[in-house]
This record gives sequence, structure tokens and C-alpha cells, in this order.
Amino acid sequence: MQTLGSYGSIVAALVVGVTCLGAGMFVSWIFRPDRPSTVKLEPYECGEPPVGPALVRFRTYFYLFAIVFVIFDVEAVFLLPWAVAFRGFGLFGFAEMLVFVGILLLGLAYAWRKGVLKWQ
Amino acid sequence: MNASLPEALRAAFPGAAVEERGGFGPVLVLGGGAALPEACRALRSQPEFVFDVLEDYTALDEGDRLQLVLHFIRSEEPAVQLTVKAPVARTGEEVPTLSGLFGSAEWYEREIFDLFGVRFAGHPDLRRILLPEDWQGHPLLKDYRDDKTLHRTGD
Amino acid sequence: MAIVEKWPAFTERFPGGGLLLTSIEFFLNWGRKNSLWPLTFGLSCCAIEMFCTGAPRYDWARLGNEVLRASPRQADMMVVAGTVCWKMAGRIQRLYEQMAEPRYVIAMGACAVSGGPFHFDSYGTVRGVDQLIPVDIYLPGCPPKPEALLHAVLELEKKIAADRLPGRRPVKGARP
Repeated sequence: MQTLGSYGSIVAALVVGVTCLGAGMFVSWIFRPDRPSTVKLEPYECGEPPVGPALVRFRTYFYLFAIVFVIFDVEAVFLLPWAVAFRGFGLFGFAEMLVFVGILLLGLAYAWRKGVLKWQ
Repeated sequence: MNASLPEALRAAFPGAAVEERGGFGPVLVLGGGAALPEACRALRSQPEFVFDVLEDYTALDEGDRLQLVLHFIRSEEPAVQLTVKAPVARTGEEVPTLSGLFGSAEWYEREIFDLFGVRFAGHPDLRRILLPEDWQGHPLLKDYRDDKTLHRTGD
Repeated sequence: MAIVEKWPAFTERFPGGGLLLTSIEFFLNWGRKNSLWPLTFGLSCCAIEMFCTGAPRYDWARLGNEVLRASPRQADMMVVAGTVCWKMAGRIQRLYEQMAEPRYVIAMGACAVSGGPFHFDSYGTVRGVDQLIPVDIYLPGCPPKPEALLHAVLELEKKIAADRLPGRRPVKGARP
């Protein structure tokens, strides 16, 4: 059997973590009282009876914000190793990265025009 | 301005009585609750008065009738105080609301309704404010008796 | 029904079971009494004294009441500090029922104990919060000094230390 090497310590950490969590939850379970009642299970509303449903409508702007962030974050992730190995690529590598950034700049201009960059 | 205020009140409100109290402001006694909105509008808008802050609006139980008591004050110098009183019947009379003129009157009138039982015509939301919604009776009336929640000794 | 309602009675029948349970109770109660998080329930003047008890000079955080939680789900102890009006009574009952066991109540101040100065002639006051919820510690005073509230918390800790696991035979002479 091959030795696990450094993976062994990861597995050990995982096992210890899960065991600690499980032991804590087990000890809680054997000691805690469990007396549910109708009033106890109602949502907390500062003592008032709750009014209305708990589901609320989310603002779709959060989604747009997250999408724009992910795109430009991935672009930054591609830029970083390119910057590290920049000298070995020469003019061809430089032009290639310019094309890449240029395509994404078009996307940025489109988003800017559409007003996505302004907090709504 | 202080010295001439009672005369100005007598001139502006011919049907009302004006009592003077040394040290405090004068008391304008109107004929009834129905005269309140007109009088308060005049007190707020006429240039010699400009009483634009309703400090307090409450009631007294005087045995045979209730007396509505309002305290006004000016928001600019000189900060003169004025008391306005208006008698109303103990039951059955609807007093026109002042909540359109003074925003603070909305909750003051709810308190008077809660504790004295006076209804206000035209009030946007007339319900009890200090006591629970299902309370019976109006506690600050002199003939209020509550045997369930009070623990009286003697009496 | 929780599992803790069943196993203490079962364990007690074996030799040494009683000793084991008493040791478990000792540590369980030690943990619970030294970490009583209060529910913010200051209603009037006694609340000011409760804030002072939480402030640096008297500091009930050193007894374990580290934070005042506003939600009954996260609180162990409800300190009813102040006058209870009939309008507030329904909310007090609902909040007490929404707290998770084990939960304790300190009635702080004369108004929460018995209605206080409003006991005789008031129309809108509840004569003591024990008309609404079960109370563990009654703390008189108008308002009680912060040292008195610290004393009440320490008395509550003594009471919690005497708690037993459910289903056990009661000790002769102890609080049931």
C-alpha cells in the first residue's frame, strides 16, 4: 500500500474535525430538553403575532452585480500568471493579452452604458 | 405682547371668555367642542397670535360634563403660552378632530378617547392607545369601577 | 419527548448510576448557571438599574451574563425589570413561551413582584408578573440596587445548581 504522504494529514484533520463536531452535537442531544409547542415554533416578531408571509422578493440587481464581479475577477485571475511570465512571451503574447482585455473592455463598456455600474 | 394678549383674544373671539392668571398665560374658554377647529385655525394663522405648537390636549371630568383642555405655545420668540378650554357632554357628543391642523392631536385624541370615551369626528384612526384593544370602560371618568383588575382595600 | 427524559431514570437503577448522574448534574448545572444570557426585558425604571448592572462598575458579565440578547431564542434568563401593563401582558407571555428550555425568570423590582406602588389603585397594571409567567427569583426594591440584582443572579445560580436531571427520584427535603 502506498503511503498517503501529505494527504494523510488532511484526512486526519478532517476526521478530527468531524469527530469533534459530532461529539458536541451528540452530547447536546442527550442532555437537551425538547418541548415544542405551537407558540414556541412561531416566528419571532418581538412578542406580536406574526403578520404576512416570510418569503420576500429579492432585488435582481444583486444578481447583476455578482455576474459583473465574477467576470472581471476571472479576468484578473488570467492576467496575474500572464504578468508573471510576461517576459518570455514577447510581442505575440502581449498582443494576445491585448485582444483578450479588449474583448472584455467591450463588455465593460456595454455594462457601463446599460447603467449596471450604478447602485440601484 | 403679553400685556395685550388677553385683549387681542377678547377682540378675536367675542363669544368666548378669557381668564387671566398672573404668571401663566391666559385661558380662553370656548362655548363648546364644536368651536374648536375654527378657533385653533384662527389661533394658528392670525398674525397677532401664531400659536402653532399644540403642546398638550387632554380632558378633565368635572362631574356633570367634561372639559377639554389644550395648551398652545408659540414656536418663535416671544414664547407665550395659551390654554384653551372647551366643555363637552360626558356621553354622546362627537367633537370635530384637530388632527388635520396639528399632527400631534392625532394621538392626543386617541388618548382622550381611550381614557374618557370622547369620540372625535373625522379622526383617521380612532382606537385605544394606552390600554389593550379589548378593554371595557374609560378609566379616567369619575364613575369608573373595575373589580376584576383592581385590588381595593375597603371601598 | 427528548432522550434526556428517559435515560436518567434508567441509569439510576444500576449500582453507581446515582453517583454518575450526580456528577453529570454537577457539570451540566455548572455550565448552565455560569452562562445565563439575559433577554432584554427592561420595561421602566428598573431597566436603568439593570443597565448599570451591566456597566463596568457592577458588571454582571463576570457572572457569565455576557450579552443581553434581544431574541428569546438565544436567551436563557428573562429579567422582567419594570412595571407590567395589561397591554404588554400578551407579549410577555408569548416571548416567555418562545424561549427555549432551560429558561429562568427574575422578577426585578416591586412592580414585577407584586404591582409595586400600583398594586391598589391602578387600572392598567398587572399585579406582579407571576400572574402571567412562572417566576424563579423575586427581587424587591424600587429600584433594587445593582448589587441587589447581582445577588439575585447569584441566588438563581444556587437554584440552578440544585437542578436535577428529569425523571430522577427527588431528594428528601429538597425543592421539588
